[in-house]
Amino acid sequence: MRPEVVTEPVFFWGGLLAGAIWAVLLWVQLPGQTPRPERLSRSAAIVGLILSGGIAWILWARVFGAIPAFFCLGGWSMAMLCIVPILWAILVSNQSRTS
Amino acid sequence: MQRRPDRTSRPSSPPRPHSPATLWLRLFIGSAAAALFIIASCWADREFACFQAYGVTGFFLLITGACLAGIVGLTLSIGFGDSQKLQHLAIRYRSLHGWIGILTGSMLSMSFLAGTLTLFAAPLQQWSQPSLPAHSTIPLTDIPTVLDELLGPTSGNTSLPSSGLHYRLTLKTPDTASLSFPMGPDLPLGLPTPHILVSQSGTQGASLYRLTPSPVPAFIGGLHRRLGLPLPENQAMPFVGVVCLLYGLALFSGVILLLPGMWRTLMTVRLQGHARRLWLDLHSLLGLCSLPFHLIIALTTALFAFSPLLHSFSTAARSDATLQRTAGTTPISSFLPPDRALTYLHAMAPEFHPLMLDYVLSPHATDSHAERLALHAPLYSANGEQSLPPTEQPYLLAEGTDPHNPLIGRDRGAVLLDPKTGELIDSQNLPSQQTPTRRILTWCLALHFGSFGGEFVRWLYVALGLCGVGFFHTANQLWLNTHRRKIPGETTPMETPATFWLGRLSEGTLLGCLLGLCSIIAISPLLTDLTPIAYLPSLTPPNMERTYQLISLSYYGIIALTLTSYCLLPKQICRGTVLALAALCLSGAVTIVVWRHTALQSPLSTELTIAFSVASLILWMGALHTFQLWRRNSPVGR
Repeated sequence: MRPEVVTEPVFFWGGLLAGAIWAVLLWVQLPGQTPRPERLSRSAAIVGLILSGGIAWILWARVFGAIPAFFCLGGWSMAMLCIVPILWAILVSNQSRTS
Repeated sequence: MQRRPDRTSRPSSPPRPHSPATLWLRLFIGSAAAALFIIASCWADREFACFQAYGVTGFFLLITGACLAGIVGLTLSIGFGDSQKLQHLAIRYRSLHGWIGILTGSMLSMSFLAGTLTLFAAPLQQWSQPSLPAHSTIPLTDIPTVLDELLGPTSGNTSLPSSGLHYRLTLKTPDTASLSFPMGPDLPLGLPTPHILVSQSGTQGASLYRLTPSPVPAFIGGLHRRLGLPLPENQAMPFVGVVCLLYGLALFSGVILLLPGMWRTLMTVRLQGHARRLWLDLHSLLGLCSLPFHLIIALTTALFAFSPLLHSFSTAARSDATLQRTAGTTPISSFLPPDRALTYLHAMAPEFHPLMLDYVLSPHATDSHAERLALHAPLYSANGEQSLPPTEQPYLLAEGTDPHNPLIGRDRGAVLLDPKTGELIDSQNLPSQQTPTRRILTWCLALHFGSFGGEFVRWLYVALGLCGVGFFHTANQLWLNTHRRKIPGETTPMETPATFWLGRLSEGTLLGCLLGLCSIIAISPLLTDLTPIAYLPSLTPPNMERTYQLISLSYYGIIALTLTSYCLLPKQICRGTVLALAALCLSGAVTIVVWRHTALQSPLSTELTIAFSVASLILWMGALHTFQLWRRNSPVGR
């Protein structure tokens, strides 16, 4: 992993974090069983989505290049959206069993 | 105010699925349309000068477009007709979607599992090899002297032909490289050839070693390309192409099925309740969230499968590159020294990081369909049929990476230079120097291979590949749960002969594939060898084809044994045993490699050691959990 992480660690990890926030904000807005916070309005979520997505893309564009950064963000959010709902379901199921 | 019923409007017909005869007819029409699109793309490439100008790149892009049109045509042919509501349209696809899933799901899941490992083909090779000798890294400035010492007239190796020689420099740092001589033809992703490795110590001069690589990464790559089928690549490819078109149809029809109602519960995974609902939730989630990934995989695999079959019908059979011809053999001393070659490359493409320099003297082997078949290499080549210069022309192939651009190969781009003058022969695969058309094709391939964004995307593709395996497995489980017979008053549905056997076969093939892969990874370090040798010319290379056949026999033998045990023994015992054996194999492989001290030779080897250790731990836990479940469900301790 080392070329991009060693040369641009701040931009890589920053982009990863911003990308994760983007994917989570997208997840909570999608229909189904998600932890939709009551105080998070639709417009605030959309602004958050645009900001986090934009920041992730800008940070990763410096590490991977502009077009690869777009596909990296797409792949990262696809992987997050596949895994996070399953982990959330396991968490909710365990909580309801213990309470 | 109560609305009066509109008597003039026609009552909507109840939703009805297609009858089997209609479905077959529509499938036939759709397949004919898809075939027509693909033939039309070949015809357009042959007839229209505007396409011919782009050569082989234009041909491949046309085939990709035709495959996409074919998938859309197939989907439309099934749903075409009067549909007032989306639900009515969805009903037409339901049974076909399910049948495509159960017929192709096991093959695709095996292919995805093998594909996840193929992402690590090069690191796995390095991981399997024994520790390289000390002083195998030579300063670039010393390379010409070492070559003179080994191949010059004073070395005693006078019987070595100066023609047909091939030497390789694998760059370790910008100023040092290891020098080796491949002992036979070597194609990317094909059967590897043994190398003679040179070790140079200041006092003793050059010493030679024969390094025999492992054919396991090449075998896993072949398994991935053939969907796990035990067939030669040329026979498997037409079938793979058809499966990919059906896979695309299943993806589109799945989205149509998802739209009417399931969208509301998209992010819901109901762990409690009916098993069918859980499989449906997981299948919908994994399918829709990774839809772009699956679409690009279906499209590019159809391109890989169909283009070698159609290439001879196209005028693009020639290469894009204008390959110069310089006849005659050339003395090694007249070749461009590696440090100067690297300076040329840096001036040409500053972002390109060379990893390997291949000096190939004439006459050399050519890249042909027969050669690819013999070496178990992919039949598809992004350069077309003539990816190498003519046999009488020496060349210098520089392979490397570029952190800011997509790469056309699995993990590297390449450039061909004249080894005497450093002049450019072919730069169509040099990442930063591509034409817009070539760049589009490179992106299509890079999105399949995950060859952009460095190691991060490699691990991302591991996650998406494993999600893909889960996607196909949930599809199979969903079909089985839907087709089990429901008995009124009973909570658990009854197995029919079809669900009983298909359930065992689908799980047996997937877990058999897992066990087979783990066991060949375990024997991979034992197949490599590093032997000191005295002379260059007196060597006969080991028979790699025989080792490859042995690996093939072991893998398919394990699959057959797993399937037999799934047919004879209780499912949970088989599941637990297979998981435990797979964990044992991986743990054994890690132990062997750590014991040979090769596990920490490079950052990639370390990553692979950690990944295999974690995977074996997960498999041990899975086996333990399965046995605990089995004991809990059978109190008599069957």
